[in-house]
Amino acid sequence: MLTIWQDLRYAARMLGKYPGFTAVAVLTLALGIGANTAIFTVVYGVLLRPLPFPEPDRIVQLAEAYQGQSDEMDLTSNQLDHLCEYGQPFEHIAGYTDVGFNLATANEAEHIRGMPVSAEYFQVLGVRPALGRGFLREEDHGDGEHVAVLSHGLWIRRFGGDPGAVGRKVLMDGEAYTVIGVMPQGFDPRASSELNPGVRAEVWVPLALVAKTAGSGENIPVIARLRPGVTPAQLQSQMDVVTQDFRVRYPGDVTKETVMSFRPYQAMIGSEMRPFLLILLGAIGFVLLIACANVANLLLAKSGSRGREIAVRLALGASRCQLVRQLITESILMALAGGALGLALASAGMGSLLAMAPSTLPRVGDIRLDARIFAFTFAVSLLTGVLFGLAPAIYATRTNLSETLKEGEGRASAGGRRSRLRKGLVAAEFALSLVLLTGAGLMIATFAKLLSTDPGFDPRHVLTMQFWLTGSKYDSTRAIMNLYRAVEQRIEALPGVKNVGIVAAGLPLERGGRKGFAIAGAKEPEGINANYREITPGYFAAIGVPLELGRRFTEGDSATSHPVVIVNESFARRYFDGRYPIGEHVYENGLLSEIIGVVGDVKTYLDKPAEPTVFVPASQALYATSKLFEGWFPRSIVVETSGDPLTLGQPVREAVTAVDPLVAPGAIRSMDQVLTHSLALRSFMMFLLSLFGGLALFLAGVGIYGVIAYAVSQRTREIGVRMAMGAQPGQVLTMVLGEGLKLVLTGLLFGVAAALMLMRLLEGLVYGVGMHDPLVFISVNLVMLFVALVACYVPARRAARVDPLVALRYE
Amino acid sequence: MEPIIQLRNLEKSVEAGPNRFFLLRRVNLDIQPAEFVTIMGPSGAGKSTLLSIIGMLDGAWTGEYYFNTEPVHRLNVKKRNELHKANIGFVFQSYHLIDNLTVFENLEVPLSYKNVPHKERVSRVCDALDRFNIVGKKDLFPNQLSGGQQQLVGVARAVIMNPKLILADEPTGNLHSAQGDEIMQLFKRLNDAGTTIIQVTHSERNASYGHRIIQLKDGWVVGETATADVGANAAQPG
Repeated sequence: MLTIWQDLRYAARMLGKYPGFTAVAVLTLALGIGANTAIFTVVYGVLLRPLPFPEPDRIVQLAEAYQGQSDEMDLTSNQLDHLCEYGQPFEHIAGYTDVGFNLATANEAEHIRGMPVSAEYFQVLGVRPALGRGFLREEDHGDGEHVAVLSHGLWIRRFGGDPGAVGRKVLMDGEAYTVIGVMPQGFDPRASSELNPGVRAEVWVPLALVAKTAGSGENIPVIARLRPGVTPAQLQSQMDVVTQDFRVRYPGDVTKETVMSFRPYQAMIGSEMRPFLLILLGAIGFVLLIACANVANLLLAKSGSRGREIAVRLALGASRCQLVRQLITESILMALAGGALGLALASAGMGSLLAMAPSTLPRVGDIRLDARIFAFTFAVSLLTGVLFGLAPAIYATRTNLSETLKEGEGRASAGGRRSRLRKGLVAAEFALSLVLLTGAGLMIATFAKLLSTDPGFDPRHVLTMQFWLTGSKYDSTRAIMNLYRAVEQRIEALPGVKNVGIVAAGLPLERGGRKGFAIAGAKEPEGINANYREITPGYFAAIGVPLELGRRFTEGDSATSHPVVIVNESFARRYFDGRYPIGEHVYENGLLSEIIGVVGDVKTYLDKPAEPTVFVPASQALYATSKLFEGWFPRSIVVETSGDPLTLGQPVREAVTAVDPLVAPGAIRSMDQVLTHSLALRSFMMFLLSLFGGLALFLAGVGIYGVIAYAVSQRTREIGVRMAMGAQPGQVLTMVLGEGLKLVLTGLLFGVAAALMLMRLLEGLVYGVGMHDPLVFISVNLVMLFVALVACYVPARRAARVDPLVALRYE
Repeated sequence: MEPIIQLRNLEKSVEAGPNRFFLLRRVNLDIQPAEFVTIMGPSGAGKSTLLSIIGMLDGAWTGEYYFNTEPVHRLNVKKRNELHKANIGFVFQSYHLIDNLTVFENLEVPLSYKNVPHKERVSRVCDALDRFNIVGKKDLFPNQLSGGQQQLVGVARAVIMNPKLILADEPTGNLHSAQGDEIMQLFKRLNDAGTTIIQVTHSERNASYGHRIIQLKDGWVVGETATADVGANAAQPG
């Protein structure tokens, strides 16, 4: 213990003796460790932090999956019912889904995320309501009872935290629900929601209320709490039995290609973000390796000047092991200082990192610095200290004692080996940096490609406002249309408004409703599943979608007129294959609707082709369909403006409120913001990979500068001799630059090979550019060569300016 | 009495292109316990190389080397290091004190490498400080001492482990004559107390403090003389 203390004391003194060196090394490490800490904090929070439920490892998700694939499909309510029969491995089993509710108060409405859940949902999670009770089986039976469990936040907001709230009614979507319980503060099932990413559920109702509806009843994630002691093998054999049974009971759903599978609930949450987060963790690991290589290089340079001290210690009886231990102590101390500073940097930068994160990032509340993260940083610092300290320490102790002691002032006799190692480290830094920069380059190229991709409409000068309609008041298409017209009229009257329209079941560039259709008169009538949108006549003009054929909807297309639809080009191309689609018919909800127009394609996902879409006039939409989609997707007002659209946000909202204060408003955004939002994940990845790549390039630049500058300082005498022999400054400059570039080119060669192999990891993120895009590879190499040239030029110029007379006196 | 050091046909060579260049050739030498031996010779004769081999700092040689009858040539590096650590102290021309350690800590270094317990370390360092009359300097760093003082600390550091053998390579080479004499008298006293001393020097004055002079030239032992035969100009210890 005492020896360790003594080593630490000497180490601290050594670091203090060279404050410049220590500061550079600590700062380099702080950047590497800090960035790693920040990214690990996100990864840990999203993927690894144990869920805050009792024995969370006993909670699993049950799903249907294609054999050998990881993509999993939700179950139907019937399948859930049957799964409950296989009681043996499951202590509790439950299904849930996701809807939105309009919660009415005295004179306004708010839209909240709700979760219809089956009776045992809270038991599966192992959390009881703090007030009242959970659901009874009989409440989740048949058509379901109108009972609700509130979140703590909603209870405070709606009932002021009154314990007497249990038993009282809340009006949701125009229907009265009896409050039966309130969940504890902070309760969050963390069930990620594609429909409401980043929005916490605030109310739970019986699943039976929606289980028999199309859509909701067919997309039910199922979770179960295993009985204590049930092993994965036991569960797997049970799931094999379920698979056989379901293939008989549900031949249409569970086929030979699919099996019933399970995985831990924790693994399911955030699984979509997992590959991206792991890429970031890997990338930032590269940055740390580069930082380590840089500090190792600094230490190697410094060990040259410590050769005498080390030789003396060896001569005084130190074993190599003791010396390596002492040198490693110095490295670790330096790494711990870097770690502490890195932790502070990570803590300071965490807010900005999360602000940039896409809204689809789950468990954001679980992303925080705590003891486990401190332990991670401590461990990484220790590891880093050993990693960058070990090689220099071993090299330092491999000195020729008699030579070094004879030389008096301790010039390193292992200089040749050290120099090779230093050069190798710099080449490795360039190789790693190239991999990172290529990744960043591909993301930048992808982003540029996406930004230049035509979404099918003009997002400039378009404002959108989401809203939801409260149930009982808007109980028919006519009532909804009356509201639409009143709202549109008020908005049209606002100065700066050019066109107004309303769309239900989904905005462009966002998930929306899909529905079954059939082409009338088709030789082989097949069910078509296409995008479905309800719109008012002004919608296409407001969002700037061009009409290609036929006509747009007019006020004349009413509930009583002939049913009509407009399709997009993709629809016409796919299902009419060269035929003129105008005048053709499709079956929609059993109604034969005439196709009266074809509009340009509008994308739901920028990186994918536009999907076939059918537009129905809102006035002819079936009320039930409209309400069903409203449970998942908000309606949106779309306003084309002559100026900055966001300046009209408040007036548009006021116009809606003026018509009906009980219409629940949602987000007010420009379509440019919607476009940006649709690129959020790629933008996040691009920014971080570019940041890491830039950091890596900076460190590699500093690394090559250090090596060349050191080499020049060691060769001052030789350079002096060369100049005395007639070498011109230009020749010396070329000689030094050439040495640097040789190193860099070696690194780039390995880097290109590594990048060619590793870039496939970005496959899901890259769009419009090849994984081995020559332009990206060439550009990255040129940027790196330029940085290397600049870094080598400074010491090369110094070498070219060596005064032979001074240099020959150098030693 | 068995010699403390016996060298038989000891040779050291280095590759120089296609040729082999011998630094030491067929060195045969016996040194008795409590003897004070001086190695002399022109530059490049192999004096320091021989001292490094005797001090077990250099393991790349051929021949036989017995230290206290222990066959060093058969020992592995670890055993050789243990033998060196237990028995040999070094004094260097350039003192080779560790710059960032105080005098006290410099004296403590060899003890710490031999895992001497802390209390005993402190006590032995204090004894050494007292014995070499440098108590007042214990908290100073080497660059705060004169050359003579630094070499005093160097000698103190060499003897603190009570070695059987002290090897001194030009111990007074960087000192002026008064300081040099002081150090040599110190060696003499240590030798009188039973420590074997081998020094490398160019100075006949320093050589006169010892019992015997080994002459080296081009790696060969070319002569041995007792100190009494050294020229009349050599000073005698006072």
